[in-house]
Amino acid sequence: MQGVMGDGGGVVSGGGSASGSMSTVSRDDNLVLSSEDSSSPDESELELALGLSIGCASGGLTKFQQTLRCQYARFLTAKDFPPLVSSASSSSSSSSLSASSSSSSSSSSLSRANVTAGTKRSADSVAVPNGSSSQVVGWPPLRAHRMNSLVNHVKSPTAEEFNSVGEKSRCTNAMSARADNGCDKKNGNYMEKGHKSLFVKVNMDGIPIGRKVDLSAHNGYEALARTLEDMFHGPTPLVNSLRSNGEKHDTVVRATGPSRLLDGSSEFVLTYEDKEGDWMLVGDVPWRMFLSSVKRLRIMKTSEANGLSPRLQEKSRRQRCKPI
Amino acid sequence: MIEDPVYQMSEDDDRSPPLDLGGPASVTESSNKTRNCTGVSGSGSSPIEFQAQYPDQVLENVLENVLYFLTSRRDRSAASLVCKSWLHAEALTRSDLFIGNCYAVSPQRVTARFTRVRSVSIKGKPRFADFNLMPPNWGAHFTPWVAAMATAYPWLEKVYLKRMSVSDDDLAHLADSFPGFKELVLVCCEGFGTSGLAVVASKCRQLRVLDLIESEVTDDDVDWISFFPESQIYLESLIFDCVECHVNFDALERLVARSPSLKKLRLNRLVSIGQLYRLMIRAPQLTHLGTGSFSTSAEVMAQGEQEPDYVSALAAAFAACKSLVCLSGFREILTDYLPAIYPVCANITSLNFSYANINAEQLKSVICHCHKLQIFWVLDSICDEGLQAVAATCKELRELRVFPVDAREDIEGPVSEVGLQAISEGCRNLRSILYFCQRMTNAAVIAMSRNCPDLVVFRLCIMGRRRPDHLTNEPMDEGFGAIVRNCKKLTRLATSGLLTDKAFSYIGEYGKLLRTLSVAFAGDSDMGLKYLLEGCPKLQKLEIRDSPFGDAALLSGLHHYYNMRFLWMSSCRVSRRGCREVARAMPRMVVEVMKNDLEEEVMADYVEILYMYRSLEGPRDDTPKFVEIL
Repeated sequence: MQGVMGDGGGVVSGGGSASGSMSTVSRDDNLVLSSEDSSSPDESELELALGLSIGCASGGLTKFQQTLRCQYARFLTAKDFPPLVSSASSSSSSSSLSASSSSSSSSSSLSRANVTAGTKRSADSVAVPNGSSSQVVGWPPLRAHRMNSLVNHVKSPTAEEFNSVGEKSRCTNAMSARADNGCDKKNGNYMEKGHKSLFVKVNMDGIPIGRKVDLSAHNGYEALARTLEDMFHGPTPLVNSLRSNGEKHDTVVRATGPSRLLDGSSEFVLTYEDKEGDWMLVGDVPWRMFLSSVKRLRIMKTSEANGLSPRLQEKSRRQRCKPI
Repeated sequence: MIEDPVYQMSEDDDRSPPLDLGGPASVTESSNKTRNCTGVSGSGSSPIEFQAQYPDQVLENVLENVLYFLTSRRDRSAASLVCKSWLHAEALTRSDLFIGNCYAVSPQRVTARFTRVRSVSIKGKPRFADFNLMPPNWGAHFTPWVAAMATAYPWLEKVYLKRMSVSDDDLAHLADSFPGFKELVLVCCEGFGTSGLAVVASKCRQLRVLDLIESEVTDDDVDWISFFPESQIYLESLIFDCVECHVNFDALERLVARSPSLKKLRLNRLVSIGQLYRLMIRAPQLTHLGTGSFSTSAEVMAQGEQEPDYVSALAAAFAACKSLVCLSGFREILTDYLPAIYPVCANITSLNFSYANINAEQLKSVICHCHKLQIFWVLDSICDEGLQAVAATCKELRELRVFPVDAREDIEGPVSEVGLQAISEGCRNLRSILYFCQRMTNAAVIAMSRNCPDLVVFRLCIMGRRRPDHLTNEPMDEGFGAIVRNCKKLTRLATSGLLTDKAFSYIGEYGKLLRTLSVAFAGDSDMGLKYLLEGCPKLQKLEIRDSPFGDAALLSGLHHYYNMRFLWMSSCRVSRRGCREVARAMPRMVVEVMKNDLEEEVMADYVEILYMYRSLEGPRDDTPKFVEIL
C-alpha cells in the first residue's frame, strides 16, 4: 500500500474515478466485484491502486494486467481484435481522458470478470458495436503529464466538433469553469460521476513539514491510519537536514504498530478539522460522512487531545443525529 | 568540459615527469612505443607496468593530452578498444559519463574504471514505462549510483537522469556529497517531491541549472523556492513546468531578480499571466521562456476584471526580451493575450504550443511572423488548416510534433493526411516529425518521404489501432516502406495503422541506419520480427507491443541482441520457454519476464512482458516481486 501511495501522492488526477466507475459497472452487470463489496482485502487494495491517477504508473498495475489478460484470451490476428469495453462504460465516457481512465478501468473490471465468469462475459463484449471507444492501457502513447493536462481542456466533452466556433466556446467554457472551481485542478474537473481525488493536508505535532494524503484512495479508517503511520514513520535524513537549519525538536516521531492512531493506545491521536472549523477525533462517524466533512488532518499528541475530548464527544454525538 | 592538463599529470606522482616531445628522438621513441603497444595487446602476455616502462608513459601522456579533446562518446569507446594503454588513458580522460541503461553496468564497475568524472548521465526505465505498460516500482533507482559517486567523484558537477526513480533521500545525499555541484536535470523521473528540491536548492551553493522536465514531483507542501539562499545569484536555468503545486511567487520573483545569468526559465501552469509579466520585466536577458498558464488567475476572472492594457504591457515585456529564442508554456491560454507574443515571433526558433488549445485562426495570427521557426510542437486543435499555415511560413522547420487534444480512438479527428501533405510540401528541411492523427493515407506518407528526404525521425501515430489507409482501405505498408526507402538518414521510426509483414520486410530491407523502432498492434506473423532482426544491423532499441510475434521470431535475433541496448515485447506471443532459451544462449543478456498477477498462475507459459538487455553484471538484485529474471 505504501509503495502505491508513494507513487501516486503528488499526481493531479481523478483519484477515485476508477474505483467509482468500477462499482458502477459492477452494479449494472450484476457482478460481485466492487471496491466496497469485495471480500478479500487484497483485492480491494488492488482496486484502490486504480484510483490513484489516470497516468500514474501505480494505477497501471491492475488496469494493465487485466487488459493484457483479456487480450491474450481473445487475441488471434489483427482482424479478430474485439473491443474491450461494454456499453456501460461508453455511457460514462463523456470527457475524453476521463473516458480513457474510467473506461479502461471499467474494462479491467470487465476483464477480471471475464476471467472469473468465463465465456459469457466475452460474448457480451464482442456484441458491442464498433462505434464505442475502446480504450487500451498506454494507447495512444501519451505521457501521463500530457494526458492530465489535456483533461483540463475538455470541459463539455460530448460531440465536440473541431471547428473555430467549437474552439472558442471551449476556451470560454474553460474560463468560466475555472472561475467556478478556482485554481485547484485537483478537485473534480474531469470526473462526471463526481469521483474526485481528495487530497488533504496532514500535519504531525513535532514535524515542521506536512504531507498530503488522498483520502478517496482509501476505503476506511484502518487504511488511512496505516498510510499515515507509514508516512510519518521515523525521521528521514532529509527531515533531519532541514531541521538542522532551524529549530530544535524534542520528540522523534515513531509509528508504534498498526492502527494505534485509532485505538488511543499510542501517544498520538488522529484528529481532523471539519467544515465548521472544529477539531474532531477521527473515527467516530461513518467513513463516507467523514470524507464529506474533513478539511484537514492533524496527528496530535494525546496529551493535547485529552483536553478536547469531552467537546469532541459531544460534537460527534450531535453529528450523528444530523441528517446526511 | 576540458580539464586543466596540469591537474591530469600532477596526480600521477609515482611517474617521472614527461619527456620533451618536440625533438626527433622522441619521434623514434613514439614509434617504438606503438610497436610495444601493439605487441603487448597482440600477445596478451603480461599486464603492462606503466609505471616501470618509460616509453609507455610518454605514450600515455600523449594520449591523455590528445584524448581529452575527444568528446564524442562513440569515438571514446573506439579509442578505448585499441589496446590496454589506450583503455587506461581514455578512462583517465573521460569526464562525461553516459550510461544508457542503468542496469547494464554497476556503479562500482563504472567508478573503478573512470576516476575523473565531472558529469554523469544515466537512463533507467524503458520508454514504454511512460505509458503504464510496466507495473510501478520496477527499479531504476538512483540510490546505488549516488552512493557510489559520493565517494568516487567528489568533484561531480552535473547529473542528468532520465526515467530514473529518485527519492528525496537521494537528492539529499547528492546535495551533501558534491560541493561543486552545478547542474541537475531530471527528465521523466519520479519518486521525489518538493522536500527533495528544497534540500538541493539550499545546499548546492554552486547550482547553475535545476531542470525538471516531465517529471512527477510530489507536493510535500514545502516552499522549495524559498530555500535558494540569498547568496544564490548564479542561476542560469530553472525549469519547473511539470511541478503541479504552487510556488511561492514572491520568493520566485526575488530569485529571478538576483539572477542576472538566468537564461532559461520555464514556469508551471500555476503561475498566472500577471505574475509572468512581473518576472519577465526582471529578466529581459532570457533566451528560453516557459510562460506558465498564460491566463489570469481565477480570482481575477471571478471578479469580472478585465485588464485591457495588459496585452500591450505584456507585449512590451516580450519585446524587451531581445534574446528570446524558445517559447513554451501557454498551459491554460487566454487567447486574447496571444498578440502579446508577436514581438518575439520573428526571432524564435522553438515554439511549444502543445498545451495550448487554439484554433487555426489563432495560430495563423502568430505563425505568420515565425519565419525562423525550427522546432514546433502543437495541438491538433489547429486542424489541417493550421498546419497549412505552418507549411506556408516555416521554411526552416526541422522538427514538428502534433499532439491530440482528444485521445480517443473512434472520433473524427481534426488533422489528417491533408496536414501531413502540406507540411511535407512546405517544410523541405524537416528532420523529425511526430504526428498523432485519426486518419492517414499511404499517398501522404509517400509524399513526405519524397519531399523530406532528410528525415531522421519519423513517428506516425494513427490513433485507431490497425487502421488502414482511409481512402484506399489498404494497409499502411507502402507508406512506411517509402519512408525507409527514401529517407536514407532515418534512425528512428514509430509505426501505426494496419501493417502486414510486408511493411517489416521493407524496414528490414531499407532501414540500414535504423537505431530505434517502435511497433504497436502490427504485423501478421513471426516473419515480421524476423525481417527486422535480420535486416537492421544498427538496431539498438526495439519496443514492440500487442503484435503477433512469438518464440521463433525471438530466437532469430540471437546474433544481434548483444549489439542492442534493449528489446521490449509486451502482449506478444513469446513464451517462457522461448525466453529461457534466449537466456541460456546468451549469458550476458538479462532476460526479465514480468508477471502481472502475482496470485494466479493462469497461462503459466505466457509472457506478458519481456524486457531484455545486455549487462556486464548479470541479474540485478533489486527486482520487485513481479519481475522474474530467467
